[in-house]
Amino acid sequence: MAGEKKPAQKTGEKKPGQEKAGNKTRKHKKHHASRNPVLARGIGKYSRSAMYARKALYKRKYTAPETKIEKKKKEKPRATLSKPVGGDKNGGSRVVKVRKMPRYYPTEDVPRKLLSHGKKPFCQHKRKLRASITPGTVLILLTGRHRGKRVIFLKQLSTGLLLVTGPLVINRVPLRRAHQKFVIATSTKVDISGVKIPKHLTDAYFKKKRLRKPKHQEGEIFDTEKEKYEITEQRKKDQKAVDSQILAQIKKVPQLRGYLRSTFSLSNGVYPHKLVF
Amino acid sequence: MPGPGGSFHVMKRFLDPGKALVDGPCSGVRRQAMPFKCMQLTDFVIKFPHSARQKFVRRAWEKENINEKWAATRWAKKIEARAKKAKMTDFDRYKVMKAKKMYSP
Repeated sequence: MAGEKKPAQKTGEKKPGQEKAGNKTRKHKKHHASRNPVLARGIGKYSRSAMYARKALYKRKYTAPETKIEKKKKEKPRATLSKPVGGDKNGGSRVVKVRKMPRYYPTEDVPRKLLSHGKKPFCQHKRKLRASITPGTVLILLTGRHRGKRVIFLKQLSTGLLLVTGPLVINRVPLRRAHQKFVIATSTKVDISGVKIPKHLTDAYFKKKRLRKPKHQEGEIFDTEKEKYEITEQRKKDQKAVDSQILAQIKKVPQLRGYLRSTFSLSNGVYPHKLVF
Repeated sequence: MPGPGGSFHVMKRFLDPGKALVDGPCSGVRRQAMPFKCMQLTDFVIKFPHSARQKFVRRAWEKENINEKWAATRWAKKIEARAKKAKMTDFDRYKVMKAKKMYSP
């Protein structure tokens, strides 16, 4: 990336044939390579002032059009609001600041956090999926109340969990999320290419709902929280919609229905590391 | 000199007490020396002059149709059955279980 000693050129003038056609802002294509050759990493050959001359910044002074500044001067956001106040002889309203002063200044400065690299929040993590798990694969659930049951994999949700269904009439597993790590992928696959899974089945749909704000404490807490899980009509509807499509495919494969009804278990002489799933 | 044929190769001649020159043109085995310990003799015998080129071994092999004869033996079928059993998937195991249940009283 070392730029050689070239006479400073305006990049816009590299295309002589172009008409200016009244466009004020033209994209500067073909950026010049760095005019500051690198001596060592982070150290260039020329000083700031030398670079100023080399880049011909004395020629390139841009100022923003003034009209916009004038416009912005008028558009300051409101600093105070007037709010009504109740009670007798209270004056009716108060002037209240919109952005209030901080209510707490720490006695010591909070030390600046060191720069970190590549630490992403959970929502930005890369989701992986084992190659053996494809839509339509029969999975064996290993944990949870449905352990040992064989279910059909539908798709991977945005948090990385697998959307899975029994189907419900076969083994009482509803549309549910399963964790990839706690699942065995068998090589048995059902053709789900024609099955349309409703788009509203996301993680938010399946997330457990918990009420967190009891208005009265101590005594009424246990009543307000949902102890018993109730199956909503929405869930029943979605279950039917998905299962009806899948059951049609299951019927095509002989003995598959019975297979999905059965559960997986280990017995004497059966070693998981030796089994071909 | 004739040599007996295994499902994989034909023994062509003795190299020393312990090894034989072996070739399996129709079964994907390269011409090589192989210790007797690695081999088991079968009943099949193909006639060709000892140390003949692979081309002639192949001719003799195909003439005798060893591949078909081998596949028909119980020995080969047992090997195949073992291989199939090892490859059984979970679904296959279920089907086998159901089939066995049907058989038993």
